[in-house]
Amino acid sequence: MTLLEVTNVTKKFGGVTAIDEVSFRAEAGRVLALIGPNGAGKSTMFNVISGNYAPTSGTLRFDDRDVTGANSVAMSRLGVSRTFQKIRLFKALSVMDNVVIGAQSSAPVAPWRFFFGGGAVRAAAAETRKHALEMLDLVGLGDVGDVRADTLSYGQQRMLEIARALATKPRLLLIDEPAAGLNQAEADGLVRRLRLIRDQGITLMLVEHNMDLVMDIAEDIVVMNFGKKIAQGAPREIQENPDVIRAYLGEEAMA
Amino acid sequence: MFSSLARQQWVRSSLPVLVAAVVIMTAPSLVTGSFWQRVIILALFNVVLAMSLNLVIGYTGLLALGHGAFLGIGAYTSAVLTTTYEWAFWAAFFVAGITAAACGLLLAVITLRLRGHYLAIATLGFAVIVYQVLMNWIDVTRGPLGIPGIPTPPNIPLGNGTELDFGLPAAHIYLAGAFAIVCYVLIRRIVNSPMGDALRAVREDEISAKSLGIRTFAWKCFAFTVAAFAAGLTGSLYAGYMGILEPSAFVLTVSFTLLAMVIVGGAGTLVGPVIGALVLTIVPEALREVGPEYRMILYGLALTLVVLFFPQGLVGIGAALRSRFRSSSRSKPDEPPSDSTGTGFAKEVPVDAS
Ligand SMILES: Nc1ncnc2c1ncn2[C@@H]1O[C@H](COP(=O)(O)OP(=O)(O)OP(=O)(O)O)[C@@H](O)[C@H]1O
Ligand SMILES: [Mg+2]
Repeated sequence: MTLLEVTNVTKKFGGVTAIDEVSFRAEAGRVLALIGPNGAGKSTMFNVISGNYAPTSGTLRFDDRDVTGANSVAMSRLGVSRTFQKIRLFKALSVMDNVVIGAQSSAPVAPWRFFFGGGAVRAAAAETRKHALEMLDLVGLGDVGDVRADTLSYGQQRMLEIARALATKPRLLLIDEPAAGLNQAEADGLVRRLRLIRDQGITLMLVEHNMDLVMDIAEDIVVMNFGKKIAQGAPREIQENPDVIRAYLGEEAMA
Repeated sequence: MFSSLARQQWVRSSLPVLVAAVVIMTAPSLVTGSFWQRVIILALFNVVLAMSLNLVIGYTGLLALGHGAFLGIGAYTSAVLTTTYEWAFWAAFFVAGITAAACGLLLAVITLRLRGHYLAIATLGFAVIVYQVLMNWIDVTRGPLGIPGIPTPPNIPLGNGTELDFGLPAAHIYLAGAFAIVCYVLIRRIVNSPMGDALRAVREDEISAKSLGIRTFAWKCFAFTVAAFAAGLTGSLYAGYMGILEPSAFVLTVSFTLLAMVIVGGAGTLVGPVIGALVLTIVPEALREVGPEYRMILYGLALTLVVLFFPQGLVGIGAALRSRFRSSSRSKPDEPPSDSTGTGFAKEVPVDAS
């Protein structure tokens, strides 16, 4: 089943065409990697899918619904959650509160009802905390729930962003460069945890420059360069695709 | 039976309220001079004003500077309704709150696209406009002449044949005190719930908040409206206590003083603004003894020192001392993070490497 369908999406910033007529599909329950050299338009694509930017043209369908132009609040409520390439945590809040805030958005009790209290509300609050703690445990931060988010190491902050996004109970999770700045041990842990997330039935979309990691976990790959989609396929096909090799050879930054 | 945890929570949430209630009940017999009774009443009004402004500034992170305007709107609404239109006090009280809240919502919708300096200036502009309206809409407000003869709240029968007589300052202390306690409890309900979390999320990072499904614009409007509502109600009590209103009571300085109370006490904390309001109302009056020429200098100096050395406010001093004491006496696991605005000594987060 197709969960997300991107059709002929273009995104322009003034004169810059960050995405140029890109189409692809993300199949439910699979891991799709979006790769390409710096400036290819990957993060912009995430911003379009998550509703942070409206596409200049083209359409987006999520779960068989037209969601073109829906904003990020709406997309979140529909079940699209994300992390950010440049980490955006609630820095002055505790690790736990970061995730609780994510979990509340999927809670059955609206925030204003807490003003009046009552058993249902208390039960919902307990459930939210329990869910948040599960998410923290899943990313290995169960022990540090009480510390301020900005005291975590860089790698931990990345994991916290994933936990916070997961807490909204998304159907599609967009993760932008989760391995950036992680050491090898942390990157290995990341792969293991991404698999756990996938095994929960959550569709994953991943932007990542670490090719070992991508080839390890991705089931489908979309390659972008200069805003255009240049290839799409299984990891093995992509590794042998001459267009992809050419795009990356021009990029010395890629190891 | 309470479990011990439930009892602990009950004590923690009820104790401050009980202590405050006892202090207020005994205040009129402890402080008998009319000058200091008046200071107490004004301090209690300021407590509510600072607490409500803190909702906007401390929790939601919006630098709104015109809070005194809502006090003025509430006070004048109440005064006009009870004098010109001879409304009952309590009816005017609620309409004063609702009028201020409506103005707060309107201001929010107009200005909340702006942030930081721009929002500050727009809200400042609002306060200037309100002051000018009070001065110049003479048909309604009587302008600089002011509105005299505002009735006090009606006396409240106490059951045992006596009544709470608003001809006496003690009754105003009780009323202002009860009002402050109710506001404290309700604001605490907001702040210690997912509503407070939503406000903090807006303060910390709006883009993240939105991508977690939080309607940030609605929450900012909510904070503005609730704060304005509380200030409007306070204005009505203020009018009922003073008996006479003049526009000069709502100059910009009022808004700045309220801002100072929030910051000096500790923005984004529950008790901070309470302490800030009490200290910044009572200390300047105490300094009158020092002589008028030094009073405002000392006051300004104290403000500067607190902000320089205790950016988390007066409550930050207590927290710092406590954690120092603890870490020297025995090692404890990490303290829960203080719920600050993050304007203090937040560590820098490494910027993305790519
Ligand atoms: N908000 C914006 N305003 C203007 N230009 C932008 C904006 N966001 C992205 N761009 C431009 O769009 C192009 C694609 O940027 P994008 O961030 O999507 O690349 P990327 O593939 O994520 O690169 P990287 O691997 O370096 O993160 C770049 O030329 C970038 O400068
Ligand atoms: Mg990017």
